[in-house]
Amino acid sequence: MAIALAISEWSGWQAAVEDNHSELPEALTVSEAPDVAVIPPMLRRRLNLLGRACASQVLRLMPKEGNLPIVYCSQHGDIERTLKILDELVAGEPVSPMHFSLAVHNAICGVLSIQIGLNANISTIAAGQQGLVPVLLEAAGILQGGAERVLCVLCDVPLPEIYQSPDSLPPMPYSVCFVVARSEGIRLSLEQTDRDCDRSRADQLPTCLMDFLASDSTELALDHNGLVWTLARIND
Amino acid sequence: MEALELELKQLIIDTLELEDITPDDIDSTEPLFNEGLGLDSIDALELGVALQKRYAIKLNAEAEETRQHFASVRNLALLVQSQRQ
Repeated sequence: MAIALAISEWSGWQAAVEDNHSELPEALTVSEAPDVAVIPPMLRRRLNLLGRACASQVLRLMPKEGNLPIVYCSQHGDIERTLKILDELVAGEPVSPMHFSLAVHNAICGVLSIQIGLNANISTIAAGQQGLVPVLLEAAGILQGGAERVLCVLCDVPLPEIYQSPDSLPPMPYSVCFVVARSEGIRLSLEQTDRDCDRSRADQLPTCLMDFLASDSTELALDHNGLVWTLARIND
Repeated sequence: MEALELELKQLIIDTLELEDITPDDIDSTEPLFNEGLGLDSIDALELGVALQKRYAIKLNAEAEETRQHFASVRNLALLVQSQRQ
């Protein structure tokens, strides 16, 4: 069964790295640090790099008068804070209440909801490396529930050294944000296929969506949990 | 006492990751929470842990006297000083 939806706006951030010479989509901001100057310092201090990567793009796409539901997805979440808590426990020290309260998966969106004054639904997902399929499915479900538009954000930072392996992703901090609508924007069809997963897509990150939207390609293949889904443009 | 107040201000800034704030920006007598410096309940807990680590001071979060100790930098300094004696 194919699911019809549309993507009306998109935006992303990626940390600048020296050896990256590949062509990047126009909507992707590459800089040393995400721009979150609009958030007052007393609230901003609650956001570390992952939170700031997420916030910088959500604040770009969240309409001023809008109260869009959010779907947030991160593979590892705020794992730096979790690791700090574990370090404190191992050392027999009291655990930081701030790290404890901000280590939960929906904490970043909680901080953002204070900034935006948001009271719409927030869904948070941890769905492996390629979170686009579950995010799009969640967004489609929220549209079915009556919402006109859903703001989606996917973000991650590289794993702390202790968890690193040669193939661990992402290589650099990034965030991707987009607005899913019923029909306004680029109209797309999401469908599960019976194709085999392609090893060449092993290091595919959610930023591939921005490449796809900016290109002339008719279809984006997404591997998720051993299944291949396609996101195809619907031509009028 | 002044040196201790400065030490506590720096502890607050470092522990609570207060960006763009220096010890000079914190008035020793102004309220730390809400209308003064603007700290919140998580900051109170975090500060409690920091006092425990640095000065081995254990506070009861529910006690009324704890509210008094946390009212300002000066009150915190008085608490630390009394524990040292």
